[in-house]
Amino acid sequence: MSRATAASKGLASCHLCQKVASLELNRCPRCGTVLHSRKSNSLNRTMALLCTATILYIPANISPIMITDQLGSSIESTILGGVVLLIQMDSLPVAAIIFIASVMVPVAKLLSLF
Amino acid sequence: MSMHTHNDDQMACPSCDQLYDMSGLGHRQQARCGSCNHLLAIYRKHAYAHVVAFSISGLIFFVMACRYPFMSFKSSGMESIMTLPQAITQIKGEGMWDLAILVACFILIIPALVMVLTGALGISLLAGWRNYWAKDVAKLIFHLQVWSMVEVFFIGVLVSLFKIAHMATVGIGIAFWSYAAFAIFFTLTLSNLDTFYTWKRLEELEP
Repeated sequence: MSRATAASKGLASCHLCQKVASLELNRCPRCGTVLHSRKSNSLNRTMALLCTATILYIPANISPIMITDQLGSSIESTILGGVVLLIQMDSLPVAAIIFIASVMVPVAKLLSLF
Repeated sequence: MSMHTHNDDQMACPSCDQLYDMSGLGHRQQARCGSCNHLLAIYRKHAYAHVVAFSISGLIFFVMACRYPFMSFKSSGMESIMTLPQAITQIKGEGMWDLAILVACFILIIPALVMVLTGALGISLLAGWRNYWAKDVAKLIFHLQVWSMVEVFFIGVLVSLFKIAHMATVGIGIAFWSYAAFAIFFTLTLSNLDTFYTWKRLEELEP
């Protein structure tokens, strides 16, 4: 069985309300949102945003994310420094949450998109 | 009725565009895309009754989360108790009024607005009113809900709790638990508002 996609029949699914309507209508007959079969230039956009994100990810990890001032002494900590600190403080679950959410998942996403 | 009635039950997978006929889904049955496994829709018999109940419960907890103390800090003999709105005015007081506005929008204003609108939409769909505002309210809900950051804020609070626990004694207030309950009801409300079936019902009830 060949794939029957909406686009192959001249139809498009509304991005807001998911109504399947003829592309010739330009606007969704149900909610009035502009109809697109595909997001325009999606590959170019993905590449551009991916490169920007990769570049920004470097200073985000090298420079401090938080500066703590306490009784005159200030401590600068990076994301990974915070994870190490939390492991030393024996709060492993929180360290795991931070590591997964701010290091593992973003890096995996960047790598898989390339 | 319009000329598009014949494909009322048609749906294209939002992820891969495969066309499906969605008629005949039973109570609590899920439809998943055969080619990419994307969740298409879940049919629930009493979805709108649940939407109304969960949004009202959520709003009650929201009011409690704003009225009661969220956290207390005790450090070198000084104790300060803070509510959520006070936390935001404090950010503003430190000169970061732009951050204060963003935080207020993402964790209080937008979530509360989404709950009020969803409750109103749920009542309208449950009662079967043919009104002119239901579609606009639904559009607003689907646009706004991506900007609500209730769970993100909650995880952030948990993480910072652990980080400052060694500097001061931190107490957790009623509002903290109320906000947690609000986050749960918020998610429950929106998960009962299935995009496909909500819009199908809205179309049937067009005035």
